Amino acid sequence: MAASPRRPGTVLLGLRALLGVVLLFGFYVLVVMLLVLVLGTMVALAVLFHAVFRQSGNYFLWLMLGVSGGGASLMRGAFGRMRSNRDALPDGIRVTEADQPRLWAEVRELADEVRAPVPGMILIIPEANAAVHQRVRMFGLVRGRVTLAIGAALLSTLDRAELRAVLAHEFGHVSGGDMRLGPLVYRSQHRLERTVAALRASEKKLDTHLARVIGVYLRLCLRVTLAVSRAQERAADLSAARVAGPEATASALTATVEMTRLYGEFMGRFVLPLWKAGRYPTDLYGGLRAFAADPARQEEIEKFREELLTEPTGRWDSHPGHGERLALLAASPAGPPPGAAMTGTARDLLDRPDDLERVISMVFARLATGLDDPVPVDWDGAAEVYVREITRSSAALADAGIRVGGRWDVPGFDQALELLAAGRGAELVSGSAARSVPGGEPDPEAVRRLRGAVAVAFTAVLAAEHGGVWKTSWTAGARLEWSGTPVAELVDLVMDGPDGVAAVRAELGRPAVDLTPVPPLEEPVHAG
Amino acid sequence: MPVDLVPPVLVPPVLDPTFGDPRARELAAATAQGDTALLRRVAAEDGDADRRSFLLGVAVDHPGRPDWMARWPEDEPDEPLAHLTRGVHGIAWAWEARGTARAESTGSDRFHEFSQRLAQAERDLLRAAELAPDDPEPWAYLVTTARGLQHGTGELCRRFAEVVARCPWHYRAHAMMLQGVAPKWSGSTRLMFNFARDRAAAAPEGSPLVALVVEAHTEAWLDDPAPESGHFADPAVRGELRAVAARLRQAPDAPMTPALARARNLLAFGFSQGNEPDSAAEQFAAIGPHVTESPWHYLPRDIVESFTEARNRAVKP
Repeated sequence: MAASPRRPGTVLLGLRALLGVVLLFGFYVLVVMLLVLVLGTMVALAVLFHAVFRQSGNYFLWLMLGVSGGGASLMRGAFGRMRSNRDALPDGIRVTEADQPRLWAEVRELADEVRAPVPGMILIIPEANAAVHQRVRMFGLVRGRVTLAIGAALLSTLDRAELRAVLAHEFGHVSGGDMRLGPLVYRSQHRLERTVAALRASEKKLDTHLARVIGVYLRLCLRVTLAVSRAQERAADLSAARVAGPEATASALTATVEMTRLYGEFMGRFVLPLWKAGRYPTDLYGGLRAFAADPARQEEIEKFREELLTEPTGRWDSHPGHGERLALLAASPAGPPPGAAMTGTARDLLDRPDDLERVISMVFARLATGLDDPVPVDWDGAAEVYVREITRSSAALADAGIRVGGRWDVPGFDQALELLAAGRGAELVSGSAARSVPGGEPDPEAVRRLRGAVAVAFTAVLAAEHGGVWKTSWTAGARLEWSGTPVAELVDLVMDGPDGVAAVRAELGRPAVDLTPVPPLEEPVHAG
Repeated sequence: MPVDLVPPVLVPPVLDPTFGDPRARELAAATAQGDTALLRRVAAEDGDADRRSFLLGVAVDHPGRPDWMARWPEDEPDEPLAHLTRGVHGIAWAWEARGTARAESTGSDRFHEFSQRLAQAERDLLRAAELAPDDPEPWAYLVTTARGLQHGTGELCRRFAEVVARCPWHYRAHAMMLQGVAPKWSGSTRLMFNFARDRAAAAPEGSPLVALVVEAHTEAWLDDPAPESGHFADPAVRGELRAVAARLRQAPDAPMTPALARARNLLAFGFSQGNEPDSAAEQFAAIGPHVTESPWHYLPRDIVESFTEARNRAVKP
C-alpha cells in the first residue's frame, strides 16, 4: 500500500501519538468491561437456573466458571507482572571523551545543531545500526540522560557525511520528543500482544473468543502507533537532511540498509564458523570492508538497491518504505553546502581505530561464545577453520578409493586416480558399478558429483602434501593457493582418462599403483 | 595325520576367557576386586605382544563399569595404563549398550549411549597412545573405535598402520582391522579379502594370522549361510581353507595360544559348514577344550552346543 503523501505537522503528530497512548490505555478499560460482561452473564445464568429449577445455582455458577476459565488468562495478561527492560542498553563498549575526542566533538556539534541534549554516554556496538536511548519517567514528562549507541559496522564503512546524517536522524528523534512516549507505547503494546497470545494458547472456548476481541483492538492500536512511528521517521529524516544535506542523508539511508544485510551475511559466513571454533577475527571490520568491496558483491548490491526502491510502505511497517524515504528527501530543500571538514570517512574520526575494532571483536566473541579467552586469528589463519568442512568431505573420495581399489596400505587418493585412469570413476561416487543412462553415456549427475568430489580431494591433497596454502577468499570463503596447475585444470585432466592422470601424477610426483587383487592362498606343493 | 590327533577330541569343550591360563585367572580375580598391582606388572612386561594383549583383555573383562576403572585415570592422569584400561573396557561397555544387532535393528537411544561411551573410550585410548608412544595396544583398539565412530576407511587404515609400525603381527589388531574393512563396516569385499590374503601370505610361518582368510570367508558366509550349499561349500573356498590349514601344519609345535585357538576354531567352523569332516576333525583335535566365542556365536544355538554338535559330526567314534 502506498503511503499517504500528507505529512502530519508536529501538532498533529503529537495528537496522533497521544491517541495511540489513549488507545493503549483503553485496553485496560476494555479488559474490565469484558470481565464484568463475562461474570455478569454467569451470575445472571445462575439466578435464572435457580429460578427455573428451584435448586441452588452455586454449583452451576462454579461449573460455568470452570468451563470458561472465567477470563483468568485475560486477567493474567492484562495485570500480571512484566519483566522490565525499559532501561536496558545494548551490549557495547563505552567510549569516553578522552578515548575518542573527535567522535565526541562531532556528536556534540550535531546534537547542538538538532537542538537535542548532548548524550551522556556513547556506546560502540558491533552491528550496522545506530540508536538513541533516553530514560523517561512520569509518562514521559521527566526526561533523563541520553545514550547514543553507534554500530562499529557503520563507523567502519560509512563516509563522514553519511555518519553525520545517521547521527542527525537519531538526534532528530530526541529533539522531536519521540522518546517521551516511546517506552510507554512499547510496554503497553507488548502487554496487549502478550494477552492475546495467552488467550490464544488457552484451550477454553471463551478465551478464544476473548482473544479475537482483544486481537481486533490490538490491530486498531497498531494502526495508530505504527502510523505515528512512520511519521516520526519521516520527520527525523527531514531533520537529518537539514543538517547533513538531503544527498548525504539519502546515501546514508541506503548504505545503512545495505550494510545491515551485508553485515548479516558476512557474520554468518566468516565470523560464526570462527566463534564455533573458539576463535575471533582480530580484524573483523577490515574483513567486513574487504567483503563489501569484493567485486563479487557489487552485482548483489546493485540488485538489492533496485529491490529496495520498489518496496512499498506497508500499514504494519514501523518505517516508511525506502523508495518513499528517498523521494521525500529528494523533494526536501537543499541542505548546507558540505564543508571541507565533512570529507573523509567516518573512521577518520576515531583515534586508534584498529585497536578499538579489535577490542570490539574480542568482547563480541566473548559474549557470543561464552569463552573468557577466545583465540585471536587473522584472516589468513581463519581459512584453516573454513576448510575443516572441506577437509572432512575430501576424505569421501579417498575412502571410496580404498574401498573400491581394495588396498589398505596405499593412499586412497592414489587408488582413486588409478580408478579414474581405468575409466572406473563412477564407482567412486556411487560406491557400486558405473551407472549410465540408456545409450551408454555416463549419468551426468554422477559425473557432476565425481568432479566435485575430485576437486575437493585435490585441494586437500595439495594443502597436505604439496605445499598448497589456504587463504580466506571474500568470494568463495576459502581459496587454495599453490604454485602448480590450477585445481580446475587438474580435475579436467584426471577426468579425461589415463593420459591426463599420467600428466597429473608426473606433476605431483605421485606413483601409479597396482590394484590387481591379491590371489587366494594356495596349498603348499609338497615334493614327492 | 588327522587320525593321530583324535584322542584329545573327547575333552569336553569349555568357553573360558582365560583359556585355563593360571596367570590370566589370577589377573581376572585381582581386577574383579579392583586390585591393579598384577595388571601393572603384566603391562610392564616386554616380549610377547599377543600374550600381553590377551592378559590386558582378560583384566578388563568385567560387566558394567567398575568404579576403580572409572576413577583410575583421574587418580593417576599420567599413567598410560590407567587410560588404556578404561579405554579398552569402554569399547565393550559401549557395545553392552548397543547390543549385537545390525545397525538398522538398533534403537536410537541405544545408539546414542553407544556413541557416547565409544567416544569416551577413544579419548582415553588417544591419551594412552600419547603417554606411551611405543605401545601398539592403544592403536589396536583405536582401530575398533574408528569403525564404531565411523571415522572412515582412510582413518581406519591410518590407525592400523600405526599398530604395524610398532608391532607388525599384532593378532588382535589384525582381527579388529578385518572387521573394519568388512563391507558391513567401512570396507568392501575386495578390500577385506585383499587385506586378509596379503597379511596372511606375509605372516611368519605358523602364525595364527593366516586364518584371517577364514575370517574373511566367514564374513562372506554370513551373507550366504546355507549349510552344505552356502559360501563354504564353494570348491575354491574349500581349497583356500585347506591352504590355511596346511600353513598351520607347518608349525606343529606351536603352543596353543588364544590366537591360535581362535584360528583353529575358525577353520573347524569353515570346514564343518563346507562339509569337510576330515579337515574339520584335524582342527577339533588340535583345539581340544579351547572353544572360542567367534565364530560359533554366528550360529543360532548356544556356542558350546554348536561347537560340540559340529565336532560330533566331524569326529565319528
